[in-house]
Amino acid sequence: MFSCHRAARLTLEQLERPLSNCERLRRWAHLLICSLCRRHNRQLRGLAFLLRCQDDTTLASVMPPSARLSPEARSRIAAAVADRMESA
Amino acid sequence: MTSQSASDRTGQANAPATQPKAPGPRREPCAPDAPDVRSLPTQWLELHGDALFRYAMALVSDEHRAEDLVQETLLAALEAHQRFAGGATERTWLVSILRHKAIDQRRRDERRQEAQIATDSAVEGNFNAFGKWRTPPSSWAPHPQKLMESEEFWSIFQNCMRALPGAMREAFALRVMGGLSAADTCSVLEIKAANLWTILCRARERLRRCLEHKWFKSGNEA
Repeated sequence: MFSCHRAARLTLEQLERPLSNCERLRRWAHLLICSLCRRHNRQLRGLAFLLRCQDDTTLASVMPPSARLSPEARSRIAAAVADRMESA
Repeated sequence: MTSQSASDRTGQANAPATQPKAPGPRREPCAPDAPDVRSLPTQWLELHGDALFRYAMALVSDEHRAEDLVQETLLAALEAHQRFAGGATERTWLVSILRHKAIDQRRRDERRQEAQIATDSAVEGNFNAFGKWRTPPSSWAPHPQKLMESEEFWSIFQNCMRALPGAMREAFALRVMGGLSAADTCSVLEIKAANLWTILCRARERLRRCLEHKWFKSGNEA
């Protein structure tokens, strides 16, 4: 018996790698008869959509806005940049 | 492990706007780009320093390493900015440099933590001994596409991203959000492809469960 556990694993894995024909067929057959696994599949597709809306710049928003450079680090970096500009 | 740096290998740190992007997950434009305003190098720290720091923190999860990354990024940008031909916003260009610096740093770091995958039960914990759902997925309504405008939803989404274990978030950030190819992600993290699949599957499942618990089951969907 092809369990929900195995079907859910394949639903997740198909987002990372191509499934074999056998895996695709078994998962498809399970989803035909299992509404919970169909729901799981829909949720992961929705999540994949949301993740496609993130990119390099919005990855910064994963951290809270309160995460900022400390004044010490800011001074150190500013000094390093000024040094480099002078030596250029 | 190769001694060649990611920046040298891709050339993106020096001219990111003109190089083809590494193959990665398909992207769809979901929000307009920020206006391309060019500023002086002396203004970069003020304008982009905190955003670069947050990006670095999302990648490396260590305050001091993140600060070093911001410094390395600005110094590299200083040398390359004459060759920055546009085509990307200034911040996107700086973030591209920072990502490659982070990859180089990750390769140099001998004390890095290996991704903990053996003990994580993000997927297995959903099922009983017979392989049946222990906690069935609930109905998600409306479709996540309709939640794009909700700042509250994005706040929850970001909280869920932050809640991922460090090594898992690092792999997820590089591959899914950073757009690195699977082969390059494996090379950076020094793991096999099968391990990367497992990590990413578990990260996705953790995110799904977190959103379900904190948003969809909290009455916010109405």
